[in-house]
Amino acid sequence: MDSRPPTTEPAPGSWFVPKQKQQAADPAESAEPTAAEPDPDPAPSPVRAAVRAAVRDVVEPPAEYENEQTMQLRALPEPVAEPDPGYAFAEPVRPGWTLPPVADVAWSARASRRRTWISRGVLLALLIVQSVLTLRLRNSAFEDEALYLYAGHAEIAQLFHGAPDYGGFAGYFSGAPTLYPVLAAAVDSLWGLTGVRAMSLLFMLVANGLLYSFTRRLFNERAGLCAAVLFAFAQSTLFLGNLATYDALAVLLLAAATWIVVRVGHGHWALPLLAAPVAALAVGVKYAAALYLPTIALLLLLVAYQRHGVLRALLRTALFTLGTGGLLGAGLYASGYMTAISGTTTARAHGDTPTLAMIEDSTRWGGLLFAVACVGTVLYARRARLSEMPGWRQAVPGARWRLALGVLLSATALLAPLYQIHLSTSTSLHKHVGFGLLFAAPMAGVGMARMMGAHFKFPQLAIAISVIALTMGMSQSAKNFGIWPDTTYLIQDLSNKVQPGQRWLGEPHEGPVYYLTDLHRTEYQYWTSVFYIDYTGRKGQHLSGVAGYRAAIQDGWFDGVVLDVADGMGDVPRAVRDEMRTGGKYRLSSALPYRTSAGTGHFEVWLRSTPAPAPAPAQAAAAPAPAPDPAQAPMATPTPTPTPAPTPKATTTRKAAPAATRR
Amino acid sequence: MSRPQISRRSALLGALGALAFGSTTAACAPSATAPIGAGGNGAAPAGAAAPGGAASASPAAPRVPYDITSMLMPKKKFLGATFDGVPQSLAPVDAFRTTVGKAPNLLVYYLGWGDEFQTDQTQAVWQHGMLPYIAWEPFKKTLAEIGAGGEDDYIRRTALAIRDLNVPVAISFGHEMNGGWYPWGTKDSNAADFVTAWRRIHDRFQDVGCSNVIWVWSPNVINPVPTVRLKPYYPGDGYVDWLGVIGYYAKTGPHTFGTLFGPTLKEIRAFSTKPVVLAETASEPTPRKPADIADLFAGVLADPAVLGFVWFNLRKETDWRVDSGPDALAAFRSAAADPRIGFDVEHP
Repeated sequence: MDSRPPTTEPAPGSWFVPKQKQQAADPAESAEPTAAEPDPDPAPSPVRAAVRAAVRDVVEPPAEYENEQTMQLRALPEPVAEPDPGYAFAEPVRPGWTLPPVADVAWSARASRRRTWISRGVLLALLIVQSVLTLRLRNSAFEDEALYLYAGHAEIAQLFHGAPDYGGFAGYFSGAPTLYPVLAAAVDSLWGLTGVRAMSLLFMLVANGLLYSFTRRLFNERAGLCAAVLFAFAQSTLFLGNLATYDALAVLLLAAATWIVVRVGHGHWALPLLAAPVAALAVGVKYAAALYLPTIALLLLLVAYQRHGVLRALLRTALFTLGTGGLLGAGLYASGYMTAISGTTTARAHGDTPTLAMIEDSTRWGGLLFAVACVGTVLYARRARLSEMPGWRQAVPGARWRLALGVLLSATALLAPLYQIHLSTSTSLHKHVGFGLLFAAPMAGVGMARMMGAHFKFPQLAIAISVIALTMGMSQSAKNFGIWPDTTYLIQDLSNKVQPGQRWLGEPHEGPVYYLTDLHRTEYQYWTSVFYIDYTGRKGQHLSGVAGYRAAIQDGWFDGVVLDVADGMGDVPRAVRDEMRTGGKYRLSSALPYRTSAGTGHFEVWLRSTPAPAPAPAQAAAAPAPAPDPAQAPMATPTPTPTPAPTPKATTTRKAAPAATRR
Repeated sequence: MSRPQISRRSALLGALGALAFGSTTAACAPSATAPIGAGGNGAAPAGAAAPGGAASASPAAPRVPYDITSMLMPKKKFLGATFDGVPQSLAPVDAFRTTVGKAPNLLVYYLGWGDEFQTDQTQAVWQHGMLPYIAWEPFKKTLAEIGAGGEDDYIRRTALAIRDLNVPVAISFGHEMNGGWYPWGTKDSNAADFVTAWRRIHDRFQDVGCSNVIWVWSPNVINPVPTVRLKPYYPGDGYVDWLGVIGYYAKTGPHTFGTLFGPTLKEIRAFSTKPVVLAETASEPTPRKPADIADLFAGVLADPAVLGFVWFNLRKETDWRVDSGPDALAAFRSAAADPRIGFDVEHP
């Protein structure tokens, strides 16, 4: 017990409470429990009262002591009764609480503003997530990005300023160099590579928005949102959204053409012509987009058939096909790009990638969405709608139509992998898979919506699929975006070594050309790739291939050489490196180690050796300097200006370089 | 008490905003362990396996390597030296600077084949204002074994350590290969094995991305071994940066710059125009020593193709040190005071 005399005034900060307030605060003794906290024991316990009375009788305190107060301090309140540990809880009845009347039909097939805005809100959130996942990817310019950008600047110089066409880009680009590269270069002039990549992100976001829109028109909002989720999480979508190549624009144009045919397929017979220029432009931007034109045409046929029957649907499809074909024919006739289209797309050189490896890659990158699309096709063919609302059996398309639509869209995902398996080349397969996924996504959306069931009864499977798609998309996109070495430090090193007018041999050369041109240190004309050389040596003979490069190195034709030393070096870079090692005309100036998501390697920067100073006269007499190497003559010429004959000359324009073809 | 009413639309917008903010914040702060391609360096642990299986002292951290190009042909002359006890202790260097009046800017020390490269010691040498110059001595392995690739792991390990150190390092492998007094010399080995081993070491260094090594091919002067030709021992201009000729001013034999080094330089100039460093030199303690020192400095300064010399400042066999006598020290102090001798190695 506390031996201190009781005080009437509370100590500062103590929990002493005056008696009256204490009584009022004690629920056990409060006459009226508060409404907010109902008294668990409204009646005072008789046992407790008896105990208190006995204590009060036995120990009669002096008048100055406040026994009740001490009791209030010392007597613990009665424990609140434990709730029943079982699982049955009595619903607390709250006064004034009544359930609202249940509507007759909670789910309506009719469009409503509420449903529209909720769907758009979810879509907006999804697009934000897509943006974040895309912007998460980081690397320096990929060689194709750099190539298209400096080609775009060259095209602008040629188109608007009359500069000569040096690069011959139209001969080996897999898209028209006057379309996307020019647009990208214009954006690059304003906001740099970041701006051009942001433009790609915008393209992919709009493409996904269009995907949602035409899926909603074909099916409903839920399928549209599910389709947009799976498409947004696909590695190809994230990858292309941060890559400054013409793929994103081509995807956008294909999505726009698809949206148009779905939107106007029920309308006037001439309206499908609106899609023709968009589809033709998609092919112009990237020739391989033509692979998906049949899908768009057949989709138009199916959509138009619903309302207008076979003949009128065929009329609309023929009109779209003729319009697109006519535009493409006219563009081809005017541009003369047939050689490039043949070399890069239709008659592309065959590779040696095993079929099994390409099937594995395709499955990894697009298999999940395709599988869900197949599920969607089957379920959609079996039943047109979920039976969520009354009257759903009215006005649904027939089973054969549904099957045709599902097969058409789902099978389109196989086009690019099958074509590349046919060519045995895996180049850019991770990008091309994404084109087909755009078309298979609506059926995947249907599949996912069906798996959730009516009234979202079974969301588990859809959540699991979404999470798997998200994690796979994040990891795969990061891996693919980190597959090329970061050239940040290489450019930093080269910016101190490359002088204006110097001739350089580069593998890679695209990144250095792009970044160093921006720094006004070089122009693309001064760079030679490892894909093509036509070197005229001192004896006047034309040398190409490895022999040409060896001769150029032996003659010291290049002021510097950049090499990427890693597993799987090509024959030309290996020969060039061996020649420089043994020849002594070049010295390794810097080696820059790098790590990619696929392994390690390093860049090597070789500079032409500076001759040692001549010995002192006294020494020269004792040890005469060797006769000057005749090959030293062109080495002293740091500019491309030809030295007096016989002059080595290198023509390095790529004429036919299948290995260097960009897709 | 009634709770404030929040409309569903506001709740939805709030949730969307929170989602956008949270995901943007998370995505804009990639960690170092984020995947390569997503702003990180991946999850490679320190000492990750390097190409070929050798463990690196550290993962290949991307950076711009030290550019040694300007070091290959500096405008002024190297004042090099070697001492007993370096590089474990750099006190002899400081003592030399006090004695001579000028600090050396190149320090030679020896690495036995099979011994681990000591990164911290080399770093200390560089931070002391000297170019580290390692004489790599293959005592424990034959040139044939090295040339056949049996020592590739050790070579790669050393190369990675030097690469990651990222300061200039001069390496002389198998110095005085044209003499018969070392196991890698003419008695126990041959020129073909020497060249094969040299090229193998050089190429393994390049293969791991090591570009901060200055390769010094270091024969002895030909005077004591006139029958041994140098050219068969030369790996080629692509494999060599400096010609590190070794020769001493002795009591007997040639004792002028021209007679001591001239015949060797003449023979070398027939197959290489690379610059020359006198990789080891000194003078015996004779009354002629001050004159030898003056002759050495004059010869080095007169020839633009000679980048400098390394004074063997040890008491071994005889007292080669600069302060073996007051006259010698005075001569050295006087000659070293020339402004063309010595320079800041970080700004050659």
